[in-house]
Amino acid sequence: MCILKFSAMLCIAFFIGSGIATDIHDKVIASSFVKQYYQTFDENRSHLAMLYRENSQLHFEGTVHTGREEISQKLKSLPFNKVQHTVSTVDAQPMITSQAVVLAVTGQLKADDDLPHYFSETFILLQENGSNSWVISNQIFRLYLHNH
Amino acid sequence: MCILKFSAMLCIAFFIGSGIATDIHDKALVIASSFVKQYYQTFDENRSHLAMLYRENSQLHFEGTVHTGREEITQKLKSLPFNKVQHTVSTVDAQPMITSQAVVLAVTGQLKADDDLPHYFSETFILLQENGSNSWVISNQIFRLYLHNH
Repeated sequence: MCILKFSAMLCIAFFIGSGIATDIHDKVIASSFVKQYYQTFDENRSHLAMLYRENSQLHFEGTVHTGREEISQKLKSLPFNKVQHTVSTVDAQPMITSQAVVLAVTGQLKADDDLPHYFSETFILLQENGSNSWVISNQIFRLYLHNH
Repeated sequence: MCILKFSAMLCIAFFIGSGIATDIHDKALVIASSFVKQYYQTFDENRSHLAMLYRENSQLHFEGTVHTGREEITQKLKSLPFNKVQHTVSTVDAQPMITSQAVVLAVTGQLKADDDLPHYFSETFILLQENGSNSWVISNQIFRLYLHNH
């Protein structure tokens, strides 16, 4: 069913009346966002810049960065050459008070020749006015290291 | 210094002018740290007492199942199949949300249930402040356990 994106949108519209689909809608957004995000991160993380805006906030292993420039700079400066995210779970919920979606991701991350480590990442996505694109409003990343 | 909550608020107000603690992240972290401590202490001692933190629109994802509203959420937490449980928090990160009076928190740590080995867990909360009160309620919550077969 609903394989093509256009068909998916039609199916979503169809189901909205029956109350099933706000859940599906968020799952679709969340899964496709997460896939795109980590693929871009792993291939060339400087290309993530366009997902951030002036008010975006990133916590990365405890340090805080605000705005596209700072965040891009932080991501670019991470000290590995190769990196691979393997996603285990993605959970998404709409926020009632604003047109936002909160996502929680768990998985494993392998950098260069290190052993893989579990990671946890939370995103809050906002939809930009008058467009279909989602931007990152809030993001929190943590790695699970055995000395935590 | 600023040990008492009230003093902490005064200190925050005092420093705002000097630009030191404008850091909205510090303020969010104060809220988050005390919330997290209270939440897991209550969870571990008697999780039915968490009910008051949830409202009609609250949403909980617990290991992939969704629950909405105080009754459903409370029922889910009460029905979790362990007698003893202990959360050990490793990290708490908090950010204010610009578009609403909300705080997003991410917690990592370990959870030990009954006589099982501890497992890593990850929990995300979005807290809202109720109108006309100082209390924070849980609007969104997502919990995941890291099991080796994930």
